[in-house]
Amino acid sequence: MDVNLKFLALAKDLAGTGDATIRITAEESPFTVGSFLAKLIRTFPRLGEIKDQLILAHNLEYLDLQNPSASFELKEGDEIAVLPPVSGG
Amino acid sequence: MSEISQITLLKNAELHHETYKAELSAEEIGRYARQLVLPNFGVKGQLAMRNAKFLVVGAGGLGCSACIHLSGSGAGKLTIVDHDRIEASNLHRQIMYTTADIGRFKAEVLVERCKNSNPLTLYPPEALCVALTTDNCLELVRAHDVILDCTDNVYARYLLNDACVLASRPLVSASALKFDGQLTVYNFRDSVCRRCLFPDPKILQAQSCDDNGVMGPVPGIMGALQAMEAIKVAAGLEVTFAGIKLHYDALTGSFYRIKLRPRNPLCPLCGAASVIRTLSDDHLGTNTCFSRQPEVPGNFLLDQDSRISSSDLATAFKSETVPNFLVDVRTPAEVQICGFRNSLNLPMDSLLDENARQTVRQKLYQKLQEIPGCSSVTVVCRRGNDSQMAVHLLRKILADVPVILKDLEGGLYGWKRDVDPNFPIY
Repeated sequence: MDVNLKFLALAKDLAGTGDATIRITAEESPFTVGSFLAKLIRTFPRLGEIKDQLILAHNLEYLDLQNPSASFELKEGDEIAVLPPVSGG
Repeated sequence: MSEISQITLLKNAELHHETYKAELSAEEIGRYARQLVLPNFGVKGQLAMRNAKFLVVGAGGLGCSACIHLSGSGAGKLTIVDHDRIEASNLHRQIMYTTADIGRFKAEVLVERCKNSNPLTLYPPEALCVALTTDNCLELVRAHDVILDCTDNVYARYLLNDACVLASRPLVSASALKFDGQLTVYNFRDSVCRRCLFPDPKILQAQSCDDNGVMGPVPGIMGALQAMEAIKVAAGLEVTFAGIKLHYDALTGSFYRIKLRPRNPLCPLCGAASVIRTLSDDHLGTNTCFSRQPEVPGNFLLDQDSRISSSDLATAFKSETVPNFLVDVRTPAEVQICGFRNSLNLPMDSLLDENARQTVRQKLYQKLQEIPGCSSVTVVCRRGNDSQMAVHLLRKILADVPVILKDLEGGLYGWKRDVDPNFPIY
């Protein structure tokens, strides 16, 4: 199944795109928060540069990266938003 | 006189007894008319605004927009903290300042503009032209009801966050960079604090000081949203962005509302077993800039022999005895602003990207072949920091080529200072 990715701010620059889809195989699901982030970084290696500074949101709800072993269910067409905190003013 | 006419007369007399008005002056009613008529805000909201004390830290793009809205809406007390002075490069986004204000303290000018906009506030707005520190922050936060984080750095953001949790104050925080803006209300009732999301500021500080630029309207939009949330906090309206992060992407015109986690029970500040009980630099990291330095281990600064001064470069240009070319490591957007003609643009990003190195190598080879006998390459950037790191990276990429790599000391800033005072800087 395909999951939609939305990259925002610096994550958009590092991924090289604002929107992408990622294919999930049956064996991969369910993901843990940590294993999903690892897959993201394998697909978009430069995201690794900000891996400790990211917010991930599943259908606009926060995924807790401080608890990487928590699992979550992805469905066809779900959206994962990837954004770092912005700091300028 | 008939019975009916008598009754009418009596009623009219009762009706003419007296007039009334809310606990607002006639001037206030006239000034705030357009928000007083709103049922959700009304007299109750206006009185709450008059009694509320707002602390705004940062008088930049966010602060200009937030403060003028707060004072216009009748904020009883408004304190503005910023130790910076106005520069020409601020004016595209810091909309309360004019060209004539360049060199003046931002907080001072912004207070003037707020006073001019609304002289009816309960107290006159106050400017504090000092830096926010662990010494003054907690006291300032305690003296106000609603705190607005309009700062531009991670250190100040965590300092305010810590003080707001320690003093139980809501923190309306916004940010703006490039085409992006964010807004969250931290520590309002049981909503998260900044450390619930990112416990350690030092991790964020490693990325925070790129000269990334910002589109003018973005901080203005975010500052206006901040004022709106602060007014809602003060007036007792439902606070939309407590526990929700708003992200504005100006390029696509999209607003995202991301529902954040509940408070983190393990948060080092607001969690059950909190370890942060005071404001201390030990918990806050640094307020000086880190520049990015991946994969160049330790000290990447070049020794003096590997650098060329602006005046020596100017002499070399004139003599043309040593075939030489320049590599400019700034971004393509920066290269369009100003620079040296006929230089080769190899942006820092391409030098750092393993996948782009082959292309970089090809471009360098091609350029070297175009200039027969070329034995030296000078690397240029804006300020002379990236260029030093680039020399290290280029020495690796060109390990098998007998060419001398140096960087232009002080970058384009140095060139302006020592060779051409008319050269633009940005």
